[in-house]
Amino acid sequence: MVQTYFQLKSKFVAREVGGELVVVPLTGNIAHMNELFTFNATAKLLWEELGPESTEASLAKALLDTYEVDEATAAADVKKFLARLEEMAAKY
Amino acid sequence: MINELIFRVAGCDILVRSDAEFDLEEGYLPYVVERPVSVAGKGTEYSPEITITAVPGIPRDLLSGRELLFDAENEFQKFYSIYELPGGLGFAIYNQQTHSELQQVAVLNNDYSEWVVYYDANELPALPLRYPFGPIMLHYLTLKIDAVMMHASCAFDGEKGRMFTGFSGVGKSTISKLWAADGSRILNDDRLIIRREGEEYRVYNTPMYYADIPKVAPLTGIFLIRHHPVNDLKRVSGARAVSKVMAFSIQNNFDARYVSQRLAFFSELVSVVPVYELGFVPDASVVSYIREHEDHS
Repeated sequence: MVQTYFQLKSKFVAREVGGELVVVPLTGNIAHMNELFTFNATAKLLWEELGPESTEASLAKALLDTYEVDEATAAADVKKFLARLEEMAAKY
Repeated sequence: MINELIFRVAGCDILVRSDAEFDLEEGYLPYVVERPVSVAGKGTEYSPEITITAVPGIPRDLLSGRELLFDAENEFQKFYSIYELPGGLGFAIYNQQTHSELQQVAVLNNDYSEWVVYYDANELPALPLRYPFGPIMLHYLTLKIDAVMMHASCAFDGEKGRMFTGFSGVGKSTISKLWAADGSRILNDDRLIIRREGEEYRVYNTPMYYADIPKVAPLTGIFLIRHHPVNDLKRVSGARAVSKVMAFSIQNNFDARYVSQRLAFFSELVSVVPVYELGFVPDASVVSYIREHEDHS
């Protein structure tokens, strides 16, 4: 399931700005031109970690390795991040 | 009637030539300049940033079977479609009165420097750059010169150039009129080009449907505006500023290279030029409110 989100990355261009990420969809229609996304530092890390072999557990571990958070918080952040990707996947 | 001319937008020369005589829409005429004189013996050759060759007659099969890359249409209007061609891009551009009739076919080379625009040979007067071709061409000029085109208005009070941007209907024209009443010069209230020059950014107006002289101003602030019960100014920065400002630029985001270039431009822009979210009351109070608060928000 998580791996399918990895394919989503190719539909966007991202750039770090001040520790956060601006994520812009590649689109073939003018209707989506005004829709850009911003990811905070946590989501940025997860976006960068998201690979073809990623799992919820591997993403949570990336958070645990980087931030001083407990496992429950890391798992919740991953679920929140994936929910956001789900919304983006529905559009692009 | 003419068959060669040069007009200058954002400091860039655009040469239009044709074997047939043609006219330009009224809005372009104040931008027309003399052809620069080559310096004798220096071996210098005039080289405009853009050359447009206008050809009467629309080759209706030029784009058939080509891969569609981008559709510029909304629920009300079809503007243009972009197709992949060997060595460049092909554009089908639609009449904005009839909404669906093919008005021009245009071909752009890979370095955005050479256009061939085919227009209706029966059209009188012959207007090969008829809207919306002009803004499309200028959008690709901004990619060539690493600039951006914004849906925005700009007011220059002789010291500061303040750009106001946002969705249609948020008050760009309204706030421009308020600044004009205060004595500021208005660049225009729709399509502006931002270009980096040295350590600063400048704003240029572009040809509109009405005649207006070319104008330029230093860009000292970008205001993301909305109507509000009280005047309220808040500085935004970083990723939020980039995404908010870029959202109101003119973009053809089917190519990752374009998006990367834009992201780099806006990232640098917001690191130099302050960006504010402005809720405003549509009366003269907003002018003094901005002056009092913009450097302290």
